[in-house]
Amino acid sequence: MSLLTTLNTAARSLSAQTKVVEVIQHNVANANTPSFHRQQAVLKAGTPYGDIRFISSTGEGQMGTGVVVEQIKRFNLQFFDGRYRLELGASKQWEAYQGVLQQVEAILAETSQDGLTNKLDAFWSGWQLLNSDPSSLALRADLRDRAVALTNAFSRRAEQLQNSRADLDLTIKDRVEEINSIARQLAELNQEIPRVRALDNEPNDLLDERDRLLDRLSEISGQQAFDQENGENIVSIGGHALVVGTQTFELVTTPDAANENLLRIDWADGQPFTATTGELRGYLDARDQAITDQLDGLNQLAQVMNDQVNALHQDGYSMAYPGGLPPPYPPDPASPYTFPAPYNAYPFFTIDDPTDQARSFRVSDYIMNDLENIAAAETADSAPGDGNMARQISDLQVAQFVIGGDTTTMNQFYTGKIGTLALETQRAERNFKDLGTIVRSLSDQREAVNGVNLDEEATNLMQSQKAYNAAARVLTAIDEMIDRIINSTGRVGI
Amino acid sequence: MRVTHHMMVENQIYYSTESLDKLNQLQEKVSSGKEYRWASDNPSGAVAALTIRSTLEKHEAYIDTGNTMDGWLTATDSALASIESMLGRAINLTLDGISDTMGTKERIALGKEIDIILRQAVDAGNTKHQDEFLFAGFKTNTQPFTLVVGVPPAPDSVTYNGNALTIEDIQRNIGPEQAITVNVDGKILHDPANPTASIFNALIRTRDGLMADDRAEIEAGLADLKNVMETIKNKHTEIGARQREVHAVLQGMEKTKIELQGLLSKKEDTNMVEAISNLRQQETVYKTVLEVGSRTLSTMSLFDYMR
Repeated sequence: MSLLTTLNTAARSLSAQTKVVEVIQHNVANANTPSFHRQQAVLKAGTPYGDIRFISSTGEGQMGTGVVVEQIKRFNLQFFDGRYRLELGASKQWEAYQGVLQQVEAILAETSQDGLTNKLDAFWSGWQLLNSDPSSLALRADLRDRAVALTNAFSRRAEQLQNSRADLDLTIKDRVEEINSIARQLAELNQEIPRVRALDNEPNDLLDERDRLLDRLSEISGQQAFDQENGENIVSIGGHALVVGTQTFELVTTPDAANENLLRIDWADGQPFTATTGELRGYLDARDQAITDQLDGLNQLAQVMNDQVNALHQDGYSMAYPGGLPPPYPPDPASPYTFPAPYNAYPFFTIDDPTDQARSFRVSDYIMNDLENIAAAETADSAPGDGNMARQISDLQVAQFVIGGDTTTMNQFYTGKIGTLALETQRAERNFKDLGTIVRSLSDQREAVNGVNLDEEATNLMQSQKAYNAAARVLTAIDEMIDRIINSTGRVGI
Repeated sequence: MRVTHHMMVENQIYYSTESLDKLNQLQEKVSSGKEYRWASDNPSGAVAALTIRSTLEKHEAYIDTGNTMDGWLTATDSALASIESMLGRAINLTLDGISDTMGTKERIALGKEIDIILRQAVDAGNTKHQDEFLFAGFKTNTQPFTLVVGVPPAPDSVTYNGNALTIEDIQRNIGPEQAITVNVDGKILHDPANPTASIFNALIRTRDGLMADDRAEIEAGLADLKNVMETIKNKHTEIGARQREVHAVLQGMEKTKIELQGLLSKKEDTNMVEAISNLRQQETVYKTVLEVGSRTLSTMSLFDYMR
């Protein structure tokens, strides 16, 4: 065992402590980086050696060779990760759902002065007022204005709900693209990480990157990931593989004719894609259930209003045609209006597109062009004091009809729809809040294992610094010893 | 549990956001005066409020109609009252005319008076209320009764220009599907198809009888007058009853309206005292959260103390 070997030991100590400080520095620099897992240089005593000298005796053997860095350890607990991602997906689902529903509430604006119920009430009152003076043109003009406000309210809401759905489609497409991009990145990592492992190194920062990608994937649609022994990771969504080794399976979006040309998501091999959690689930639920439900409600209500008011109106007599409409029926063969016999007056409302009722719901041209076409009278001759048809039409407000499968009044039907939406939104908010608390505490648990505590790092730094200083001192001492041997041996009495 | 600085920062952000959110909600409540802004804040309350609003709107319309009806009924009532008094006078005059103490000249004088009453009655039958004829059925802009002077020996007659069909009742809604007839069909006063039941025919007959000094005619005319008087009295009572009904319903509705408004306010409006004191409290909480945050976050780490 020579001094030079000892020198080597000291040098190795310096190098090991430097490495430790480097790792500490890396941790401190990344103290705020999301998804960073702290690392630690694990020190190990160097491989000892048994000395072979021409004079050896037992008891002198196995000398240590200083300190080496065995590995750069990464702090991680798989169990926490799994739980965290599960709850994260659910939380994001409710967040997305709630966000869209709040938008829908804003569109429908029912608690403001601009609500549809207000317009409905005003419309019925208009008929009631017309009954008190059926021949008054002022009252007729007022009624027509109220009717136009009502139909505009219907079509505006329908239009905006449909636009919401189209906007959601853009967001959904965006997310699907993001999933594909994440899949590609995961495949690249699947190539890199085993390669690094094969060299017996720890690909810590690559593993951090993979964790970040998997977190984001959980947010979007949830995922299941299985670690392989060679460092690869198989990722699947809803039972269908997304990334296997370096191979990725893509998702595609296509307009679905069976769902009003909204997007549907499929795997590239044709199988349907089901997201059970995450933002995609939230958006899809909002688009296909909540918004569609409201739209259906508006359409049904518009259809019932159209049919019921027209049925009575066409039985009444208008000022323009006191004895009833003259033949032929319909007056214009190219007319878009349907004239069920017998007809004494023109229809009041019209729906241009039977598949898109609320949006194409409006007051018929006959009424718009001539106020005298409003039929307030019940008996032919349409005397100026006869307002019985107006009275009957205003009574429709309290009559019950079968709308959307239930027997109810028109007002109650719509109020019911609003109530359903309000409850759904409230439920989504509550779920989001509750899950948010759970996610936060799981995130804290994860952070407790992975996160960087600056005080710890500072203490470790001081430790390493002291060790480095000591090693440097030892180095100096050995250097002196060598110097004495080399330069001062044999020089006696000079 | 091992705590990291990142964790503390995250938590601080969360708590101050939460606190600010609550503060914002309370501020909205106080500023707008409404307990909730969106239906989802209070679904059952919101739906109830919508229903109450609808009912209030309906009530407004009915109260409006009710007041209009009241006006019409009052006008009809006074018209009928004046016709009644005219008939009463005519009957008295006829009774005088029947008495044996009257001579031809006196009878002719009485006849002339009845002629005047006849014209007054026709005028009463043509009463207007707010530019609409009361007794013309649905034809409210056509004068119902016209006096046609007959070329002798044909008697005078009165034509009816109102509704051509049978009795026409103008109905108004005083409540949902609750209609009240507000008019008296002119045919009740004078129906050409039923000459003996007409006021004017009775008056004409009596007048002609008096002028011609024909006792039989006078007596017949008197009988007619008495019958017609009965009809008018009945109708008058009917109108009175209808008006009472309208008043009762209107009163009830005014009361209900006030109750509904109170109910709506309870559901919708903020309890200002409660909201403001909550707001004050939340301000303090927010300040505290910020204070604590600034202390914990600015706490230095060991690095600051290393030499």
